[in-house]
Amino acid sequence: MVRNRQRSRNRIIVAAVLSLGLIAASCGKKNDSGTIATNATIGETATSAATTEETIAVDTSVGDTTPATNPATTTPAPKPVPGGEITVSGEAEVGNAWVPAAMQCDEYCHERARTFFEPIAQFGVDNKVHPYLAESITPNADATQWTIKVRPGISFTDGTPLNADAMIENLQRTGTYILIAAQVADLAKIDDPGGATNQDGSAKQVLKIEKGDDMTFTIFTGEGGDASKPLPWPGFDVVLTSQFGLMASPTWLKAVDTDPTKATQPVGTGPFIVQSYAPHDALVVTRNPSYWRKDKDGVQLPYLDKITFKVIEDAKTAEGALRSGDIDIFSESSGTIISDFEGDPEFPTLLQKEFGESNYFIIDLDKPGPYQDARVRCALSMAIDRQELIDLTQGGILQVANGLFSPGQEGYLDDNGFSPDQDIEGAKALIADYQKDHPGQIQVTYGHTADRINAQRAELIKGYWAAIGVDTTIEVIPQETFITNMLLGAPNFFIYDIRLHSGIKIDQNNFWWNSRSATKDGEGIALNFARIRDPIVDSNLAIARSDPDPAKRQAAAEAVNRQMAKECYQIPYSHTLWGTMHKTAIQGLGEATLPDGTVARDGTDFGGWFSTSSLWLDKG
Amino acid sequence: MRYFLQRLLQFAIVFFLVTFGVMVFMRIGMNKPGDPARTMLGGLVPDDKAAAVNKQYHLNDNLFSQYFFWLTKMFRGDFGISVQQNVTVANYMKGRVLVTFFLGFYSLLWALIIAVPVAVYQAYRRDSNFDRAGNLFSFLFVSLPALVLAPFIIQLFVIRLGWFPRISEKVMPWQDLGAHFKNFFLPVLVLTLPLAAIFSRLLRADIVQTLQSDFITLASAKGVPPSRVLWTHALRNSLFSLLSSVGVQLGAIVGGALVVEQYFTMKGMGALLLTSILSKDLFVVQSVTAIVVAVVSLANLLIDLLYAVIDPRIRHARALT
Repeated sequence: MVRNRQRSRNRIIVAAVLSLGLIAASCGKKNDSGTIATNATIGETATSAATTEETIAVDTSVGDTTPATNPATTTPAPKPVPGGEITVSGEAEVGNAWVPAAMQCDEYCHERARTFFEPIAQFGVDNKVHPYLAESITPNADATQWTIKVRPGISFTDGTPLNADAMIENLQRTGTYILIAAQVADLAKIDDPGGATNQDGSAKQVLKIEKGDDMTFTIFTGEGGDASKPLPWPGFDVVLTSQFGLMASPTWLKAVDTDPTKATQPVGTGPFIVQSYAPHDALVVTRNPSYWRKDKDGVQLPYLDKITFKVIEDAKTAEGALRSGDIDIFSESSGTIISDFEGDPEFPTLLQKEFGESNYFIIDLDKPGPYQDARVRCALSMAIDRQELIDLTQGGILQVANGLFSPGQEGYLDDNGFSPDQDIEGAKALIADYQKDHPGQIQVTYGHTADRINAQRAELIKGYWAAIGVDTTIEVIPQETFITNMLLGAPNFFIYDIRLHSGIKIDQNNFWWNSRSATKDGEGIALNFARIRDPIVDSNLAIARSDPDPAKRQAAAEAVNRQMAKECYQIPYSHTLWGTMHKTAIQGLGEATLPDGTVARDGTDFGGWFSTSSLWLDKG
Repeated sequence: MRYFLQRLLQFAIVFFLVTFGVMVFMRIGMNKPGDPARTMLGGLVPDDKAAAVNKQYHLNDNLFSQYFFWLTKMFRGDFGISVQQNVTVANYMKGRVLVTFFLGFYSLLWALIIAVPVAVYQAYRRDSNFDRAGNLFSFLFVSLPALVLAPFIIQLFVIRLGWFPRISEKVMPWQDLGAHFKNFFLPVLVLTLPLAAIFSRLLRADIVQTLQSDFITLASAKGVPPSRVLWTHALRNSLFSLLSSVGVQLGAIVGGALVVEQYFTMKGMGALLLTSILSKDLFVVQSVTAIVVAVVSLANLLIDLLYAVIDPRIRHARALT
């Protein structure tokens, strides 16, 4: 979260607010001088957190939020008060809940899942990976083997102890399941020592993991899964912060094997326990009374007694629900919605501006015709007036994107070789050039989920592309099938409006762009939705994964950025800004700490999610 | 009895046509072996799991076999499983059935409570200012379906006045009566107003005609009080169109509930049906459809039987056939 680490910066740049406002005003953006009021606790670390009552101006350039008033008027931080319940809303239901290996998890899925599941490791605000359920995570000299020591004294809420066996069971299940396997494709695989076989009689492949003692085990890397080719993977611990690292009770996992309906009653080690779950309606979690963590003052976590998570698919409805008191807090990436809360003292907003996803139009490069031609792709990209798109559909407060690397991410470049400025004439020239080789009208199909803002954006896009002579058919895609269509390369997946690729390191996005995970349309599952098969991208992704020199990894990440921009594999338009809007009574947002005392960084992997273990209610 | 059996047979035919038709339509585009399971599972499943689901639910059998398998299980109370959500369809529907029931029940009830006295008085005071105003408003609300009315209602009562919640919780009367009515009021209002308008227009026209009948003139001449003439003689003989309309509108109420549940984020059967259709959750769609068809058909059967209660001539005629 931005605010956790910006207080000191805020103090320094108070004087800069006016100039930022002037710069923003000169850009003519809608919300350039707007303010977002917050009263949330801001602190460099959890131990120095203090409550401030301050107004935060949103500048339209990327950077941190900036206080518009003197932040020196701080008051002592109130102590968290245990008790109370809140209602949270999010935009989509998870598919295939809640087994970590199988759940199709977006931001709101993580928001909920991380109330009852916890990861092996988690990012801190220092952008480093810190052990969470692990006590330590240690690589060997060349980072081809990673030894994990399990934190002692932790049990799942069904009483099953968390030990090496439990972690290995989870990692084996998730790491070999179809959904996550591509993410850990460079972990070594071996024949199942238990002799398990596949349907065709071949030996079942499992991750090469060696148990040391009851609380220790070692994971081995292997290029493309080949155990005979250990692959240096200096950033492997990042994977343990993701869905791959979420730990569920092995007892419960086995129960789900025999009765799939038990998947709706997940069991983890987390601060909350699932009380009830009704898909597309509500997930209710209650406080885990024997949770293993306490706060710095020795108060048992979590503070809240109960959280109800609702699904409200329409962002405007969620906004209305917060204002009418039906919900207490929700995260949203729609600039329009975030800007609606600007300057509203009743509903403070916490912003996540860095490491977020990029908003872009993904193209299925396997689809025949114009989609496979860089001239058409670049023309479609050049035709877009990104600032207008942002102003009209995203509240005017987002930053124009030139690629899929958001500010702060490894590989981000202010200039990656692609100009995001609208260039209709240049685009027309490219289209004309294409039509010399392929005469006739160019027709493309554009899909988006059922949301009124997405629909508005679709109409604008249709207009931009009509201006360069491209005919666009708009299709509304159900949220439930949106991701699946991309995974399978469905016949109706041509160009989709999506939001993806958050994270700090490029390695977190390896599987999205690596040709290894670009299974052809209709032949299986491809996490590389766009089906990018580019040797330059592949080789640089490999360097970014394996090279021990951080400078070379950085250079490789930048090379990937440049190559994708050059080929116009995607049509980027803005970088995501996540806002978490909440009632003033909600305290502790963005203040969760890791077991080692470092403040946790919310929103990594998936923008918008926030830790619930630190939330408490100010009943005053 | 024969009439009842005839209607029951009609019900069975309608039930089969609709549920089998829904099953066939949901399977369009899933022709390859294994596709129904893979589609239901969201695509992200290993082959062995998809194969297991196909086998368990006979999804690779011919459509009649699949239908028979589903039907026999459903009659035993096993609606199947939503493999996308890992819940039984019965559990998925639990709680939602009552939401849609209360929506429909209250809408129908209030529509009748509003429409009957208004229509009777309009007919009695034909061409008066009240009658003209009634006609105007009924025309207005007939022209405003839920799709159009809901945003206006939300804008006025939720956003401007802040009297009602933006999302309507499924609070049941036995949980909190006050909260129940507060949460259901606006969605019911949206469904009630067009319904009441339709009913009042129909009933007014019928009563106006009935009031010109000889038996009404005779009753008045014999000194029967006007209120009795109006409420007993005229109304009773004018109820047929209204009853028929109630039967027809039951289906419309289900459709309206689908729209209203979306607007008010109510988690009822309409919302479930829509979600399930979009995500191709086959067994949920089939089960919800079956329940809706059964309820609407049986309600219409009940209405048919009510004709006989209201008019002895029908009862007598049916007895002769």
